[in-house]
Amino acid sequence: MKERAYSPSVLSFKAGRTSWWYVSGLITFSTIGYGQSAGAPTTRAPTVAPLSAARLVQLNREWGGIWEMESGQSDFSAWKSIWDWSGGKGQAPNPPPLTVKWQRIYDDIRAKAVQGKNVADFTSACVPYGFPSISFFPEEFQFTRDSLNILSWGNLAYRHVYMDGRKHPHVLALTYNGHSVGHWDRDTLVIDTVGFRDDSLVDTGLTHTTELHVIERMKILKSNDLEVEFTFADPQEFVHPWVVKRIYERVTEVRISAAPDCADNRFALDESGASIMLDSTGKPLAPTSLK
Amino acid sequence: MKYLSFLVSLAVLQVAFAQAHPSRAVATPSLLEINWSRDMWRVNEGMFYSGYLDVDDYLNAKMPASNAPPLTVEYQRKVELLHADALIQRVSIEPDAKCNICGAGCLPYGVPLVLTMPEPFKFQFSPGLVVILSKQGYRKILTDTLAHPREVDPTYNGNSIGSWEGDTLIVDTVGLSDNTLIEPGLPHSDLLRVIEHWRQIAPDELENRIVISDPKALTHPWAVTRTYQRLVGVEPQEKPCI
Repeated sequence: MKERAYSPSVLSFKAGRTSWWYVSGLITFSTIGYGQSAGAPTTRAPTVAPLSAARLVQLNREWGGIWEMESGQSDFSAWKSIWDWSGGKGQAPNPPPLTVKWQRIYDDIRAKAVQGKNVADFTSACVPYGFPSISFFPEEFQFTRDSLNILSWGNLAYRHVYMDGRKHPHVLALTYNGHSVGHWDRDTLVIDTVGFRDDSLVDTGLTHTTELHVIERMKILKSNDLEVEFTFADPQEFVHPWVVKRIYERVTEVRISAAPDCADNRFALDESGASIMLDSTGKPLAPTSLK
Repeated sequence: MKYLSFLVSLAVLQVAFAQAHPSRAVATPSLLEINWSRDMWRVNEGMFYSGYLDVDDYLNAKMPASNAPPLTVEYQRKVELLHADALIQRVSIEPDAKCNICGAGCLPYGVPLVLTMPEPFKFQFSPGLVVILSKQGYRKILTDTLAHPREVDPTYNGNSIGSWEGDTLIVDTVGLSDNTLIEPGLPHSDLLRVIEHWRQIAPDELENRIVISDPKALTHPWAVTRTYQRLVGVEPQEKPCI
Protein backbone atom coordinates (compact mmCIF):
# COMPACT_ATOMS: atom_id res chain seq x y z
CA MET A 1 0.00 0.00 0.00
CA LYS A 2 1.37 3.39 -1.00
CA GLU A 3 1.44 5.82 1.89
CA ARG A 4 3.27 8.89 2.94
CA ALA A 5 3.27 11.14 5.97
CA TYR A 6 1.69 14.38 5.03
CA SER A 7 3.15 17.63 6.28
CA PRO A 8 0.70 20.51 6.86
CA SER A 9 3.43 23.06 6.07
CA VAL A 10 3.36 21.98 2.42
CA LEU A 11 -0.14 23.34 2.11
CA SER A 12 0.35 26.73 3.67
CA PHE A 13 0.14 28.84 0.58
CA LYS A 14 -2.53 30.77 -1.27
CA ALA A 15 -3.64 29.08 -4.42
CA GLY A 16 -16.67 25.19 -23.22
CA ARG A 17 -19.70 21.20 -25.84
CA THR A 18 -16.58 19.12 -24.48
CA SER A 19 -13.93 18.29 -27.03
CA TRP A 20 -14.37 14.55 -26.85
CA TRP A 21 -11.71 13.91 -29.46
CA TYR A 22 -9.34 15.81 -27.27
CA VAL A 23 -10.34 14.02 -24.14
CA SER A 24 -10.04 10.62 -25.78
CA GLY A 25 -6.57 11.55 -27.05
CA LEU A 26 -5.07 12.36 -23.66
CA ILE A 27 -1.86 10.49 -23.42
CA THR A 28 -0.45 8.90 -20.34
CA PHE A 29 3.13 8.04 -19.79
CA SER A 30 2.26 5.56 -17.21
CA THR A 31 3.95 2.93 -15.22
CA ILE A 32 0.79 1.35 -14.05
CA GLY A 33 1.00 1.10 -10.32
CA TYR A 34 -0.11 -1.96 -8.45
CA GLY A 35 -0.46 -0.38 -5.06
CA GLN A 36 -3.64 -0.98 -3.12
CA SER A 37 -5.39 1.98 -1.62
CA ALA A 38 -7.12 1.98 1.73
CA GLY A 39 -9.75 4.31 3.14
CA ALA A 40 -8.33 7.35 4.88
CA PRO A 41 -9.19 7.25 8.56
CA THR A 42 -10.68 10.32 10.17
CA THR A 43 -8.45 12.06 12.64
CA ARG A 44 -10.78 14.62 14.09
CA ALA A 45 -14.46 14.79 14.95
CA PRO A 46 -16.58 16.79 12.49
CA THR A 47 -16.71 20.49 13.33
CA VAL A 48 -19.28 21.68 10.79
CA ALA A 49 -22.94 20.96 11.45
CA PRO A 50 -24.84 18.86 8.90
CA LEU A 51 -26.76 20.85 6.32
CA SER A 52 -30.35 21.69 7.08
CA ALA A 53 -33.06 20.20 4.88
CA ALA A 54 -33.73 23.56 3.28
CA ARG A 55 -30.07 24.19 2.53
CA LEU A 56 -29.80 20.67 1.05
CA VAL A 57 -32.64 21.39 -1.35
CA GLN A 58 -31.22 24.80 -2.24
CA LEU A 59 -27.66 23.59 -2.91
CA ASN A 60 -28.64 20.58 -5.00
CA ARG A 61 -30.99 22.77 -7.00
CA GLU A 62 -28.36 25.48 -7.59
CA TRP A 63 -25.65 22.95 -8.52
CA GLY A 64 -27.95 20.44 -10.24
CA GLY A 65 -27.65 19.09 -13.75
CA ILE A 66 -24.63 17.68 -15.52
CA TRP A 67 -21.71 20.07 -15.94
CA GLU A 68 -19.89 19.79 -19.24
CA MET A 69 -16.68 21.60 -20.05
CA GLU A 70 -17.44 24.56 -22.31
CA SER A 71 -16.43 23.81 -25.89
CA GLY A 72 -13.33 25.51 -27.15
CA GLN A 73 -11.37 24.70 -24.03
CA SER A 74 -8.64 22.11 -24.22
CA ASP A 75 -6.25 20.93 -21.53
CA PHE A 76 -4.74 23.19 -18.89
CA SER A 77 -1.72 23.97 -21.07
CA ALA A 78 -4.19 25.05 -23.78
CA TRP A 79 -2.77 22.89 -26.55
CA LYS A 80 -4.93 23.56 -29.63
CA SER A 81 -4.66 19.90 -30.56
CA ILE A 82 -3.35 16.81 -28.83
CA TRP A 83 -1.59 16.04 -32.06
CA ASP A 84 0.39 19.28 -31.77
CA TRP A 85 1.77 17.97 -28.51
CA SER A 86 2.43 14.44 -29.69
CA GLY A 87 3.64 15.64 -33.08
CA GLY A 88 6.22 17.98 -31.58
CA LYS A 89 4.66 21.09 -33.12
CA GLY A 90 5.26 24.29 -31.23
CA GLN A 91 4.95 24.94 -27.52
CA ALA A 92 2.04 24.99 -25.12
CA PRO A 93 0.21 28.35 -25.14
CA ASN A 94 -0.15 28.18 -21.33
CA PRO A 95 2.88 26.17 -20.25
CA PRO A 96 3.11 24.91 -16.69
CA PRO A 97 5.74 26.80 -14.62
CA LEU A 98 8.06 23.82 -14.17
CA THR A 99 11.32 23.57 -12.30
CA VAL A 100 14.39 22.82 -14.39
CA LYS A 101 14.29 19.17 -13.39
CA TRP A 102 10.62 18.73 -14.26
CA GLN A 103 10.93 20.65 -17.52
CA ARG A 104 13.43 17.98 -18.53
CA ILE A 105 11.02 15.21 -17.49
CA TYR A 106 8.17 16.89 -19.39
CA ASP A 107 10.29 17.38 -22.54
CA ASP A 108 11.47 13.78 -22.35
CA ILE A 109 7.91 12.46 -22.17
CA ARG A 110 6.95 14.59 -25.14
CA ALA A 111 9.97 13.44 -27.12
CA LYS A 112 9.00 9.81 -26.49
CA ALA A 113 5.44 10.52 -27.62
CA VAL A 114 6.74 12.17 -30.80
CA GLN A 115 8.72 9.01 -31.50
CA GLY A 116 5.66 6.90 -30.74
CA LYS A 117 7.38 5.18 -27.86
CA ASN A 118 6.22 4.18 -24.40
CA VAL A 119 2.84 5.76 -24.48
CA ALA A 120 -0.57 4.26 -23.86
CA ASP A 121 -4.02 5.73 -24.10
CA PHE A 122 -5.32 5.32 -20.57
CA THR A 123 -8.88 5.55 -21.78
CA SER A 124 -8.29 2.32 -23.68
CA ALA A 125 -6.77 0.54 -20.74
CA CYS A 126 -9.46 1.72 -18.35
CA VAL A 127 -6.84 2.69 -15.83
CA PRO A 128 -8.52 5.20 -13.52
CA TYR A 129 -8.24 8.67 -15.04
CA GLY A 130 -7.45 10.24 -11.70
CA PHE A 131 -7.90 13.85 -10.73
CA PRO A 132 -7.57 16.36 -12.35
CA SER A 133 -7.85 14.44 -15.67
CA ILE A 134 -11.30 13.33 -14.62
CA SER A 135 -12.41 16.96 -14.56
CA PHE A 136 -12.35 17.00 -18.35
CA PHE A 137 -15.38 14.74 -18.37
CA PRO A 138 -18.94 15.83 -17.60
CA GLU A 139 -19.73 15.58 -13.93
CA GLU A 140 -22.52 16.02 -11.44
CA PHE A 141 -22.57 17.32 -7.90
CA GLN A 142 -24.47 15.63 -5.12
CA PHE A 143 -24.52 17.53 -1.84
CA THR A 144 -25.43 15.41 1.16
CA ARG A 145 -25.80 16.53 4.78
CA ASP A 146 -22.07 16.32 5.39
CA SER A 147 -20.32 15.65 2.11
CA LEU A 148 -20.16 16.32 -1.60
CA ASN A 149 -19.93 13.62 -4.23
CA ILE A 150 -18.62 14.64 -7.63
CA LEU A 151 -19.84 11.95 -10.03
CA SER A 152 -18.04 11.51 -13.34
CA TRP A 153 -19.75 10.73 -16.62
CA GLY A 154 -16.45 9.64 -18.13
CA ASN A 155 -16.50 6.50 -16.09
CA LEU A 156 -18.04 5.43 -12.82
CA ALA A 157 -15.42 7.21 -10.73
CA TYR A 158 -16.44 9.64 -8.05
CA ARG A 159 -14.71 12.10 -5.79
CA HIS A 160 -15.93 12.08 -2.22
CA VAL A 161 -15.35 15.48 -0.63
CA TYR A 162 -15.69 15.73 3.15
CA MET A 163 -17.59 18.89 4.05
CA ASP A 164 -17.83 18.34 7.81
CA GLY A 165 -14.83 20.43 8.75
CA ARG A 166 -12.36 17.60 9.07
CA LYS A 167 -8.73 18.02 7.98
CA HIS A 168 -6.64 15.71 5.85
CA PRO A 169 -5.35 12.73 7.82
CA HIS A 170 -1.73 12.87 8.86
CA VAL A 171 -0.96 9.60 7.10
CA LEU A 172 -2.51 9.34 3.67
CA ALA A 173 -3.16 6.32 1.52
CA LEU A 174 -2.31 7.54 -1.97
CA THR A 175 -5.09 7.31 -4.53
CA TYR A 176 -5.86 8.39 -8.08
CA ASN A 177 -8.36 11.01 -6.95
CA GLY A 178 -6.64 12.06 -3.76
CA HIS A 179 -8.22 12.94 -0.42
CA SER A 180 -10.54 15.96 -0.59
CA VAL A 181 -11.95 18.26 2.04
CA GLY A 182 -14.15 21.22 1.24
CA HIS A 183 -15.68 24.32 2.75
CA TRP A 184 -17.63 27.38 1.68
CA ASP A 185 -16.07 30.79 1.22
CA ARG A 186 -19.33 32.70 0.93
CA ASP A 187 -20.78 31.42 -2.34
CA THR A 188 -17.53 29.83 -3.52
CA LEU A 189 -16.95 26.14 -2.93
CA VAL A 190 -13.32 25.50 -2.04
CA ILE A 191 -11.97 21.95 -2.35
CA ASP A 192 -8.52 21.03 -1.12
CA THR A 193 -7.03 17.75 -2.36
CA VAL A 194 -3.82 15.94 -1.50
CA GLY A 195 -2.66 12.32 -1.37
CA PHE A 196 -2.22 11.57 -5.05
CA ARG A 197 -0.51 8.54 -6.52
CA ASP A 198 2.26 9.54 -8.90
CA ASP A 199 1.11 7.49 -11.88
CA SER A 200 -1.58 9.76 -13.22
CA LEU A 201 -1.46 13.08 -15.04
CA VAL A 202 -1.89 16.70 -14.11
CA ASP A 203 -2.16 17.61 -17.78
CA THR A 204 -1.23 16.31 -21.21
CA GLY A 205 2.10 14.57 -20.84
CA LEU A 206 2.58 16.10 -17.39
CA THR A 207 3.11 13.70 -14.54
CA HIS A 208 3.51 14.73 -10.92
CA THR A 209 4.81 13.60 -7.55
CA THR A 210 2.88 12.46 -4.50
CA GLU A 211 3.33 15.99 -3.14
CA LEU A 212 0.82 17.41 -5.61
CA HIS A 213 -1.67 19.68 -3.91
CA VAL A 214 -4.73 20.94 -5.78
CA ILE A 215 -7.12 23.66 -4.66
CA GLU A 216 -10.31 24.25 -6.61
CA ARG A 217 -12.43 27.32 -6.20
CA MET A 218 -15.84 26.76 -7.76
CA LYS A 219 -18.52 29.34 -8.27
CA ILE A 220 -21.75 29.47 -10.23
CA LEU A 221 -21.69 32.60 -12.32
CA LYS A 222 -24.61 34.90 -13.16
CA SER A 223 -24.49 33.39 -16.64
CA ASN A 224 -25.51 30.07 -15.04
CA ASP A 225 -22.12 28.59 -15.97
CA LEU A 226 -19.77 27.05 -13.43
CA GLU A 227 -16.32 28.58 -13.10
CA VAL A 228 -13.59 26.44 -11.56
CA GLU A 229 -10.23 27.91 -10.70
CA PHE A 230 -7.61 25.18 -10.28
CA THR A 231 -4.41 25.86 -8.39
CA PHE A 232 -1.76 23.18 -8.79
CA ALA A 233 1.15 23.20 -6.38
CA ASP A 234 4.04 20.80 -6.02
CA PRO A 235 7.27 22.30 -4.69
CA GLN A 236 9.36 19.76 -6.59
CA GLU A 237 7.57 20.31 -9.87
CA PHE A 238 6.31 23.90 -10.08
CA VAL A 239 8.37 27.02 -9.42
CA HIS A 240 5.16 28.68 -8.27
CA PRO A 241 1.53 27.51 -8.09
CA TRP A 242 -0.05 27.05 -11.49
CA VAL A 243 -3.49 28.66 -11.69
CA VAL A 244 -5.90 27.73 -14.49
CA LYS A 245 -9.58 28.49 -14.96
CA ARG A 246 -12.25 26.34 -16.54
CA ILE A 247 -15.85 27.07 -17.48
CA TYR A 248 -18.53 24.39 -17.39
CA GLU A 249 -21.99 24.62 -18.91
CA ARG A 250 -25.02 23.07 -17.32
CA VAL A 251 -26.91 20.29 -19.13
CA THR A 252 -30.37 19.65 -17.77
CA GLU A 253 -32.03 17.70 -20.57
CA VAL A 254 -30.38 14.41 -19.62
CA ARG A 255 -32.50 12.71 -16.96
CA ILE A 256 -31.04 9.23 -16.79
CA SER A 257 -28.98 7.56 -14.13
CA ALA A 258 -27.11 5.32 -16.58
CA ALA A 259 -23.62 6.77 -16.44
CA PRO A 260 -21.14 4.80 -18.54
CA ASP A 261 -18.05 3.06 -17.27
CA CYS A 262 -14.79 3.01 -19.22
CA ALA A 263 -15.49 -0.63 -20.01
CA ASP A 264 -18.59 0.47 -21.91
CA ASN A 265 -16.26 2.11 -24.41
CA ARG A 266 -14.95 -0.22 -26.99
CA PHE A 267 -11.29 0.59 -27.20
CA ALA A 268 -8.27 -1.66 -27.22
CA LEU A 269 -4.53 -1.29 -27.59
CA ASP A 270 -2.55 -2.47 -30.58
CA GLU A 271 1.07 -3.69 -30.44
CA SER A 272 2.52 -0.20 -30.35
CA GLY A 273 0.26 0.86 -27.52
CA ALA A 274 -1.91 3.05 -29.74
CA SER A 275 -5.64 2.94 -29.22
CA ILE A 276 -7.98 1.34 -31.71
CA MET A 277 -11.74 1.36 -31.58
CA LEU A 278 -13.63 -1.90 -31.78
CA ASP A 279 -17.08 -2.56 -33.11
CA SER A 280 -19.66 -4.43 -31.08
CA THR A 281 -18.21 -7.79 -32.19
CA GLY A 282 -14.71 -6.83 -31.09
CA LYS A 283 -13.24 -6.20 -34.54
CA PRO A 284 -11.12 -3.07 -35.09
CA LEU A 285 -13.05 -0.16 -36.55
CA ALA A 286 -10.66 2.68 -37.30
CA PRO A 287 -7.06 2.32 -36.28
CA THR A 288 -5.48 5.43 -34.83
CA SER A 289 -1.83 6.03 -34.27
CA LEU A 290 0.26 8.46 -32.35
CA LYS A 291 3.00 8.29 -34.95
CA MET B 1 -50.73 30.42 26.17
CA LYS B 2 -51.23 33.11 23.54
CA TYR B 3 -47.66 32.54 22.34
CA LEU B 4 -48.24 28.79 22.13
CA SER B 5 -51.41 29.35 20.11
CA PHE B 6 -49.48 31.62 17.80
CA LEU B 7 -46.81 28.96 17.24
CA VAL B 8 -49.41 26.27 16.58
CA SER B 9 -51.15 28.55 14.08
CA LEU B 10 -47.84 29.15 12.32
CA ALA B 11 -47.22 25.42 12.11
CA VAL B 12 -50.69 24.79 10.69
CA LEU B 13 -50.21 27.54 8.12
CA GLN B 14 -46.80 26.11 7.18
CA VAL B 15 -48.26 22.64 6.55
CA ALA B 16 -51.20 24.06 4.63
CA PHE B 17 -48.90 26.18 2.51
CA ALA B 18 -46.58 23.26 1.78
CA GLN B 19 -49.48 21.09 0.71
CA ALA B 20 -50.90 23.80 -1.49
CA HIS B 21 -47.52 24.42 -3.09
CA PRO B 22 -45.70 21.07 -3.19
CA SER B 23 -42.76 22.56 -5.05
CA ARG B 24 -42.11 24.83 -2.14
CA ALA B 25 -42.20 22.01 0.40
CA VAL B 26 -38.85 21.22 1.99
CA ALA B 27 -37.96 17.52 1.80
CA THR B 28 -36.72 16.51 5.19
CA PRO B 29 -34.10 13.76 5.14
CA SER B 30 -35.77 10.91 6.87
CA LEU B 31 -34.25 9.28 9.88
CA LEU B 32 -33.73 6.17 7.79
CA GLU B 33 -31.67 8.09 5.24
CA ILE B 34 -29.53 9.57 7.99
CA ASN B 35 -29.10 6.14 9.56
CA TRP B 36 -28.30 4.32 6.31
CA SER B 37 -25.80 6.93 5.14
CA ARG B 38 -23.76 6.62 8.29
CA ASP B 39 -20.83 4.17 7.93
CA MET B 40 -20.70 1.56 5.16
CA TRP B 41 -22.36 -1.80 4.58
CA ARG B 42 -21.19 -5.20 3.37
CA VAL B 43 -23.14 -8.25 2.27
CA ASN B 44 -23.27 -11.24 4.59
CA GLU B 45 -24.00 -13.89 1.98
CA GLY B 46 -21.79 -15.30 -0.78
CA MET B 47 -21.57 -14.29 -4.42
CA PHE B 48 -23.99 -16.94 -5.70
CA TYR B 49 -27.67 -16.16 -5.47
CA SER B 50 -28.25 -19.80 -6.31
CA GLY B 51 -26.46 -20.90 -3.14
CA TYR B 52 -23.03 -22.15 -4.24
CA LEU B 53 -20.18 -21.23 -1.93
CA ASP B 54 -17.72 -19.96 -4.53
CA VAL B 55 -16.67 -20.43 -8.16
CA ASP B 56 -14.89 -23.72 -7.44
CA ASP B 57 -17.95 -25.05 -5.67
CA TYR B 58 -20.11 -24.05 -8.62
CA LEU B 59 -17.80 -25.58 -11.23
CA ASN B 60 -17.36 -28.87 -9.36
CA ALA B 61 -20.65 -29.12 -7.50
CA LYS B 62 -22.16 -32.56 -7.16
CA MET B 63 -25.42 -31.21 -5.69
CA PRO B 64 -27.87 -28.89 -7.42
CA ALA B 65 -28.15 -25.29 -6.27
CA SER B 66 -30.34 -24.57 -3.24
CA ASN B 67 -32.07 -21.70 -5.09
CA ALA B 68 -31.56 -22.50 -8.76
CA PRO B 69 -32.57 -19.83 -11.27
CA PRO B 70 -35.63 -20.76 -13.36
CA LEU B 71 -33.82 -20.85 -16.70
CA THR B 72 -35.40 -20.99 -20.11
CA VAL B 73 -34.25 -23.82 -22.39
CA GLU B 74 -32.12 -21.39 -24.40
CA TYR B 75 -30.31 -20.05 -21.35
CA GLN B 76 -29.95 -23.45 -19.72
CA ARG B 77 -27.88 -24.32 -22.80
CA LYS B 78 -25.87 -21.09 -22.54
CA VAL B 79 -25.14 -21.76 -18.86
CA GLU B 80 -24.00 -25.31 -19.63
CA LEU B 81 -21.66 -24.10 -22.39
CA LEU B 82 -20.21 -21.38 -20.16
CA HIS B 83 -19.81 -23.88 -17.33
CA ALA B 84 -17.92 -26.26 -19.64
CA ASP B 85 -15.64 -23.48 -20.91
CA ALA B 86 -14.95 -22.23 -17.40
CA LEU B 87 -14.17 -25.75 -16.20
CA ILE B 88 -11.37 -26.12 -18.74
CA GLN B 89 -10.34 -22.49 -18.10
CA ARG B 90 -11.02 -21.33 -21.62
CA VAL B 91 -12.88 -18.40 -20.05
CA SER B 92 -13.05 -17.04 -16.55
CA ILE B 93 -16.28 -16.43 -14.68
CA GLU B 94 -14.48 -14.85 -11.74
CA PRO B 95 -16.05 -11.46 -11.00
CA ASP B 96 -12.66 -9.75 -10.90
CA ALA B 97 -11.63 -10.98 -14.36
CA LYS B 98 -9.70 -8.44 -16.36
CA CYS B 99 -11.49 -6.50 -19.03
CA ASN B 100 -11.03 -8.45 -22.23
CA ILE B 101 -11.70 -5.53 -24.49
CA CYS B 102 -9.83 -3.03 -22.37
CA GLY B 103 -6.60 -4.89 -21.89
CA ALA B 104 -6.32 -3.76 -18.32
CA GLY B 105 -8.58 -2.82 -15.51
CA CYS B 106 -11.35 -4.91 -14.04
CA LEU B 107 -14.81 -5.12 -15.39
CA PRO B 108 -17.45 -3.58 -13.17
CA TYR B 109 -19.61 -6.21 -11.50
CA GLY B 110 -22.79 -4.58 -12.75
CA VAL B 111 -26.24 -5.02 -11.29
CA PRO B 112 -27.28 -7.36 -9.70
CA LEU B 113 -23.91 -9.04 -9.13
CA VAL B 114 -22.66 -5.99 -7.23
CA LEU B 115 -25.42 -6.59 -4.67
CA THR B 116 -23.90 -9.88 -3.62
CA MET B 117 -20.17 -9.16 -3.84
CA PRO B 118 -18.28 -8.39 -0.62
CA GLU B 119 -17.40 -4.80 -1.52
CA PRO B 120 -18.34 -2.30 1.20
CA PHE B 121 -20.73 0.35 -0.04
CA LYS B 122 -22.13 3.59 1.26
CA PHE B 123 -25.54 5.19 0.81
CA GLN B 124 -25.63 8.88 0.02
CA PHE B 125 -28.98 10.68 0.00
CA SER B 126 -29.98 14.05 -1.39
CA PRO B 127 -33.32 15.40 -2.61
CA GLY B 128 -34.33 13.41 -5.68
CA LEU B 129 -31.24 11.24 -5.72
CA VAL B 130 -29.71 8.24 -4.01
CA VAL B 131 -26.11 7.38 -4.78
CA ILE B 132 -24.39 4.20 -3.69
CA LEU B 133 -20.61 4.51 -3.49
CA SER B 134 -18.19 1.58 -3.56
CA LYS B 135 -14.90 0.56 -5.09
CA GLN B 136 -16.96 -0.40 -8.13
CA GLY B 137 -17.74 3.24 -8.67
CA TYR B 138 -21.15 4.71 -8.05
CA ARG B 139 -24.76 3.76 -8.69
CA LYS B 140 -27.21 6.55 -9.24
CA ILE B 141 -30.86 6.11 -8.36
CA LEU B 142 -33.23 8.89 -9.38
CA THR B 143 -35.99 9.27 -6.81
CA ASP B 144 -37.75 12.20 -8.46
CA THR B 145 -38.47 10.34 -11.70
CA LEU B 146 -41.52 8.14 -12.15
CA ALA B 147 -40.51 6.16 -15.22
CA HIS B 148 -37.49 4.92 -17.12
CA PRO B 149 -36.73 6.62 -20.43
CA ARG B 150 -38.03 4.81 -23.48
CA GLU B 151 -34.51 4.11 -24.68
CA VAL B 152 -31.25 4.09 -22.81
CA ASP B 153 -27.85 2.80 -23.87
CA PRO B 154 -27.04 -0.28 -21.80
CA THR B 155 -24.45 0.27 -19.10
CA TYR B 156 -22.97 -1.83 -16.34
CA ASN B 157 -25.06 -0.26 -13.61
CA GLY B 158 -28.11 0.38 -15.72
CA ASN B 159 -30.72 3.07 -15.30
CA SER B 160 -32.26 3.12 -11.82
CA ILE B 161 -35.32 4.87 -10.46
CA GLY B 162 -36.40 4.58 -6.88
CA SER B 163 -38.93 5.57 -4.27
CA TRP B 164 -39.72 5.10 -0.61
CA GLU B 165 -42.77 3.11 0.32
CA GLY B 166 -43.02 3.42 4.04
CA ASP B 167 -39.74 2.13 5.42
CA THR B 168 -38.74 0.32 2.23
CA LEU B 169 -36.57 1.82 -0.49
CA ILE B 170 -37.61 0.32 -3.81
CA VAL B 171 -35.16 0.49 -6.71
CA ASP B 172 -36.06 -0.49 -10.26
CA THR B 173 -33.20 -0.97 -12.73
CA VAL B 174 -33.23 -1.62 -16.48
CA GLY B 175 -30.83 -0.91 -19.33
CA LEU B 176 -28.22 -3.33 -18.04
CA SER B 177 -25.33 -4.25 -20.30
CA ASP B 178 -25.32 -7.94 -21.21
CA ASN B 179 -21.53 -7.94 -20.72
CA THR B 180 -22.16 -8.91 -17.11
CA LEU B 181 -23.25 -12.04 -15.32
CA ILE B 182 -26.13 -12.14 -12.84
CA GLU B 183 -23.90 -14.38 -10.77
CA PRO B 184 -20.73 -16.19 -11.91
CA GLY B 185 -21.70 -18.45 -14.80
CA LEU B 186 -25.17 -16.94 -15.34
CA PRO B 187 -25.49 -14.62 -18.35
CA HIS B 188 -28.53 -12.49 -19.07
CA SER B 189 -30.15 -10.65 -21.95
CA ASP B 190 -30.79 -6.98 -22.55
CA LEU B 191 -34.24 -7.44 -21.04
CA LEU B 192 -32.89 -7.95 -17.54
CA ARG B 193 -34.76 -6.00 -14.90
CA VAL B 194 -33.79 -5.89 -11.23
CA ILE B 195 -36.14 -4.65 -8.54
CA GLU B 196 -34.74 -4.20 -5.04
CA HIS B 197 -36.57 -3.75 -1.76
CA TRP B 198 -34.22 -2.33 0.86
CA ARG B 199 -35.32 -2.40 4.49
CA GLN B 200 -33.60 -2.02 7.82
CA ILE B 201 -34.18 -5.13 9.92
CA ALA B 202 -31.88 -4.32 12.82
CA PRO B 203 -29.85 -1.27 13.95
CA ASP B 204 -26.80 -2.56 12.07
CA GLU B 205 -28.42 -4.74 9.40
CA LEU B 206 -30.20 -4.12 6.13
CA GLU B 207 -32.16 -6.59 4.06
CA ASN B 208 -32.59 -6.43 0.31
CA ARG B 209 -35.29 -8.57 -1.27
CA ILE B 210 -34.34 -8.68 -4.93
CA VAL B 211 -36.52 -9.75 -7.83
CA ILE B 212 -34.58 -10.60 -10.98
CA SER B 213 -36.59 -10.91 -14.18
CA ASP B 214 -35.48 -11.56 -17.74
CA PRO B 215 -38.09 -12.96 -20.15
CA LYS B 216 -35.37 -14.38 -22.42
CA ALA B 217 -33.28 -16.03 -19.70
CA LEU B 218 -35.77 -16.85 -16.92
CA THR B 219 -39.13 -18.52 -17.15
CA HIS B 220 -40.44 -16.39 -14.30
CA PRO B 221 -39.03 -13.73 -11.92
CA TRP B 222 -36.37 -15.07 -9.59
CA ALA B 223 -36.59 -13.90 -5.95
CA VAL B 224 -33.41 -13.74 -3.89
CA THR B 225 -32.58 -12.08 -0.56
CA ARG B 226 -29.44 -10.50 0.75
CA THR B 227 -28.56 -9.04 4.15
CA TYR B 228 -25.88 -6.45 4.87
CA GLN B 229 -23.92 -5.69 8.02
CA ARG B 230 -22.88 -2.20 9.06
CA LEU B 231 -19.13 -1.48 8.96
CA VAL B 232 -18.67 1.21 11.58
CA GLY B 233 -16.12 3.91 10.79
CA VAL B 234 -15.23 2.62 7.33
CA GLU B 235 -14.84 5.30 4.65
CA PRO B 236 -15.29 5.08 0.86
CA GLN B 237 -12.22 3.69 -0.89
CA GLU B 238 -10.95 3.97 -4.41
CA LYS B 239 -11.11 1.17 -6.97
CA PRO B 240 -7.62 -0.35 -7.00
CA CYS B 241 -8.23 -3.02 -9.63
CA ILE B 242 -5.93 -2.15 -12.52
